[in-house]
Amino acid sequence: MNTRSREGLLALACLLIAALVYWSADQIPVSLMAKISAGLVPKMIAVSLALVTCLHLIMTFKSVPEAEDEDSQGAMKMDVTESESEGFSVWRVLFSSMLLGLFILCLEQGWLGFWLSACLFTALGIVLLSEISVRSLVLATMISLLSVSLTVLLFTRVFTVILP
Amino acid sequence: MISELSASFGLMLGLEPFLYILIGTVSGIVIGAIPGLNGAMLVALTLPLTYGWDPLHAIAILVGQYVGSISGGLVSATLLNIPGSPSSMMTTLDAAPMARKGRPLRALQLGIIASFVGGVVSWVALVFLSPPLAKIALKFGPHEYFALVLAALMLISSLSEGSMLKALISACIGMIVALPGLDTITAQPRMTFGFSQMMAGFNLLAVLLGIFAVTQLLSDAGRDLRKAERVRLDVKESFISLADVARQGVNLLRSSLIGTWIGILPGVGGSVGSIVSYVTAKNMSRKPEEFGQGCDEGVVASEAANNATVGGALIPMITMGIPGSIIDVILIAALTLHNIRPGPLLFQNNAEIVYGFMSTMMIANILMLVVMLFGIRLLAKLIDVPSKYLVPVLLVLCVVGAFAVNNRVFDVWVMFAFGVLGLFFRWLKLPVAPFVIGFILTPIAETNFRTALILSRNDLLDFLTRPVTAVLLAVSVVVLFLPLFRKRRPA
Amino acid sequence: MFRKPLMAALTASLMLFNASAVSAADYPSKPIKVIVPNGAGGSTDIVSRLVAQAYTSELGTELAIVNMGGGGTSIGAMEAAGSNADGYTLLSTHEAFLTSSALGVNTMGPSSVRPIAQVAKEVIVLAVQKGSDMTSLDDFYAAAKKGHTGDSLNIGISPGAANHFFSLSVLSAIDHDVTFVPTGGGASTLKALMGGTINAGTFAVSESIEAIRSGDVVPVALFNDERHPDLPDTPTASESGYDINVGLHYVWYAPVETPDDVVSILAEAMTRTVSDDAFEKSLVERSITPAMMTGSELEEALGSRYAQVEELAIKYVVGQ
Repeated sequence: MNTRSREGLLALACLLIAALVYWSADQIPVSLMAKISAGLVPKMIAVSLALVTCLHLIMTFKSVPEAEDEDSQGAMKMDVTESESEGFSVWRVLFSSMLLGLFILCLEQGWLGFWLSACLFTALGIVLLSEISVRSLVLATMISLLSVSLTVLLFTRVFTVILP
Repeated sequence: MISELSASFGLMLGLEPFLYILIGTVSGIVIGAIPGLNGAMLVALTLPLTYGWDPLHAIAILVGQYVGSISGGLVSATLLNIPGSPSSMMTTLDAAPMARKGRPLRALQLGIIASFVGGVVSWVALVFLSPPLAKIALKFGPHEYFALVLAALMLISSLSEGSMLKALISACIGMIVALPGLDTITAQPRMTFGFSQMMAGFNLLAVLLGIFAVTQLLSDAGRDLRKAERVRLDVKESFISLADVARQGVNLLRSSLIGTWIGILPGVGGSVGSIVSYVTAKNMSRKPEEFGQGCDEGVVASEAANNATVGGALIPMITMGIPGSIIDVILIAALTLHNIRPGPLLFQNNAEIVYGFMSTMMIANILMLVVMLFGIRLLAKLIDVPSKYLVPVLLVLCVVGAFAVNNRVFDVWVMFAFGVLGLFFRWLKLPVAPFVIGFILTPIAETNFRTALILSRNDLLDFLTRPVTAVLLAVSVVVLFLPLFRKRRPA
Repeated sequence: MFRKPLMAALTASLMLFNASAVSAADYPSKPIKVIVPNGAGGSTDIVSRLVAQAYTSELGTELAIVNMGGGGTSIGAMEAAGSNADGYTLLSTHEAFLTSSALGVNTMGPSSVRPIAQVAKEVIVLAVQKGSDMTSLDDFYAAAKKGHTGDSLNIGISPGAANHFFSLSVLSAIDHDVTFVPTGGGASTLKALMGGTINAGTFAVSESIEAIRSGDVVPVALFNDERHPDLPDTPTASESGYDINVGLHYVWYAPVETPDDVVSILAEAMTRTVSDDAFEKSLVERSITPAMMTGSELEEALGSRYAQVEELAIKYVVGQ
C-alpha cells in the first residue's frame, strides 16, 4: 500500500472517530450540577481532531511524494528498520494476537482455569515462534510449566490475588 | 532535628529493618523491571502481609518497594523498549534507541545515576523544606493545576518527530481515549455507549500496558528471530565517566526539581513528572533534534524526575496526611492499619514514623544505586534469553498485571485492544508519545478547568488575573511558539 | 447491544440453578470473595480488611478482599450483584452504593442484593475553614440561604458520591443557594478546605479528626443522634434544632438470590465479630462507631436511606 492511500485511510478513520465522539457528546443531557455540559470538552477535542485531520489530508495530497518522505525522514528511518526489515512476518503477528485474544477469552469465560490456559498459551506461543522440532516442543512445555507455575504461586500464595 | 534523624538512621540500619528495606528495594526493582507488573500493584499487594508487623518494618519494606519500583522500570525501558512501569514511559524514548545503537550499558548507568540524584534532591526537599513546600502546594488550586497541565499539553507539539500534524492527530486520539466513563463534574455517564463496564472508563495502566508492552511484544513476535538484531549488553563496555555525568549537571538538577514539585502536587503522579521534565529538557536543550534518537539528556531528564516524585509525594503525606501519589494512598492505609493517624499532627505525635520515612527513603535510594549498578551483570544474562521464550512469558505477565489492577477481565481486553491499536499506530507511522501524554493529561486538565470555572462563576478572565496561573499560561504560550522561532534560525 | 440481555439471562439462569443447588449445611466450605468496590487504601478498603480479619475466625474460612474500583463503586457492586448467589461472593460497601444506584450509574441497585449486616458507621461532620466567621450551624445556614449577602458559599463535594448527598441532606433544611465545587473524595476535599479553595465540606470524623485537632479546619456540627467521643465540644444538628441524621454506614451485602440460611449464618458470625471487645476497640481507636444491625431492621433502615437519597437525586442532581 502506498503512502497516500495509507494516509487516506488514517484520515477516514479519524474523521469517523471525531464524528462519533461529537455525536455521543451531544447526547449527554444538561445536568443540574454545572452550567457547562459534560459534552463540551469532548466536542472541542472532536473538532480539533477533525481539523487536524483535514489539514493533514491536504498536506499529504498537496506534497510531492519525494518531498514528503524527506519531511518525515527521522521518524520513518527507525520504523523501517524496526518493522519492515527482512523476515518480518505479518502472519506471525496476526497469529500471536489471535492466540492472545483466545487466551483472554478463556479467562473471561472461565473455560480452562488460569493455570491451564496460561500454560497452553505460553507453550503454543513458543512453538509458534520457533522451528518445530522435538527439542523445541519439550523446551516449550518445560518453560511454560515453570513460568506459569511461578506466576501462579507468586500471586496466589504470596499475595492474595484471585486469578480469573 | 538532625540528631533525631541520625538516630532514626541508626535504627533503620539495624539488621532487621535493613533487611526489610533491602527486600523491599530489590523486590521493587524486579517487579518494576518486569513489564506488566508495577510498583503500585506490588505495594498494594504487600500491604496485607505487613498487618501484624512493627510499623517501622512495614514502612521499611513499602518505601523500599516504592523507590525500587520507580527505578526498576528503567531496565525494560532500555533493553526491551517497554516501560517497566508507567513512570519510565518517557525513558523509553531515548534509552531504547541508545541501546539499539549498541550502548545499552551507558543508558542504564545514566538512568541509574539520574534516578539516584533525583531521589537525593527530593529527599533534601523532604527533610528540610517539607512545611513551607506543603503550604505552597495547598495554595495551588484548580486554576493553577489547569495552567500547569496545559503547559505540558502544549509541549506535545514539540515532541513530534517528523510531521507535527501526525503528532497532533495522535494526541487527539489519546485525549479521546481518556473521555469515557463517569464524568467527574456532573457524575453523568459519558461515551459509555450503554456498556456498564465502561462506567470506569479505560484504565490508565491497562491502556499503557497495551500500547507499550503488548504492541512491542506482538511486533517482536513478527520479527525473524534468526536475522533480527538483538540488544547485547557488553559488560566490558567502559563505565561512564564522571565528565559525562557532570555535563548533565544542570539537567539533573532541573529535572529533579521539576519532579519534586510535581510529586508534591496531589493527584498528578510520577509519569507526569517525567513528561514535564523531558519536554522541558528538550525545549531548553541546544540540540533538541537529538531527543528521541538516544541522547543522554532525555534519559537523565526522565529518570531524575520520576525518582524525584517519590520524595515530593511524601511531603504532603507527612505534613498533612494527604496522599501525593497512588502509592502514598496505600502508605497512608498502612499507617491507619497500624493505628497511626496520618495528618497534620503526625510529626507531633509520631515523630519516629516521620523520621522513619525519611531515613528509609535515603537508605533505599543508596541500596537501589548499589544493587542496580552491580546487578547489571546479572541483567546481561537475563536478556540473553531468546525472545521466542520471552514474548509469550511476558504476555502472560501483562495479562496478570492488567487483571490485578482492578480484578477485572475487562481491563485485560482493554489492554489487548490497545495492543492491537498500537500495531496500527506503527503501521500508520503515528508517534505513540503524544497519544500517551494526551491520554494522561486530559482528565487532569479537564477536571481542573471545569472546577476552576465553577469557582470563578464561569468567568474565563479569572485565569489571567491570578498571578501564578497567568505566568504558567504565558510560559505555555511561549513554549508553544519557541520551536517556530528555532526553525527560522539555523543553529 | 444484544449482549446485555443475553448475559443477564445467562446469569439469571445460573443464579436460579445455584440457589437450588446450594445447601447451607456445609457452608462455608471454601474461601469467600469479598468485593470492595473501591481502590486499595481507601477507608472502605481499610474497614473491610479490619472486619475480614476478625470475621475469618468466626466463619472458619478465608476471606479474600478483592478491590474493584471505578464508576462510583458501580463496577464492583454490579460484579457482586451478578455473581453466583451461593454465599461465596459478598460485597462490602457504604452509602456510595445507594447514591450511584439513585443516579442510575449502577443499574443493579438495592433490589439486586440483600443486606447481610451493617458493621459500623462514620459520623459526619460539617467543617469550615480555619478563621471562618461561621461558628455554628445557624451561621452556616444563614450564609447558605437564598438571598444571603455576598458571594455564595463554595462547598466541596465528589459529585454523585456519598459526601455530595450528605451536603445535600444538610442543606435540605433550608432553601439554599450555594456553589458545589467538585473537589473529590475525603482527602482532596480536605486539602481544598485547608488551602482555602472552598468554604465548607462534609467529612467523616475519622478522615478529618487530625486536621480538626491541629486546628487546620474547624468543626461546626455533627449529623448524628449523639456527640462523637473524639469531638466532645462539637454539637449535633438536633441540638441546634435541626433534625438531620446522616452517616456513612458500612454494610455487607450478598446477591439477592442468596438463600436465607446462608445469609443468617453470615449475619450471626458478623454479629459475633463486631460485638467482640477487641474488634470494637480497633474501630473506636480509628474514630469509627460500631453500629451493628441485621435482619428486617437493617432492611428497613436501608429502605428509608435509599428513599431519601433518591428524593435528593431527583430534586438536585438528575432532575425528573
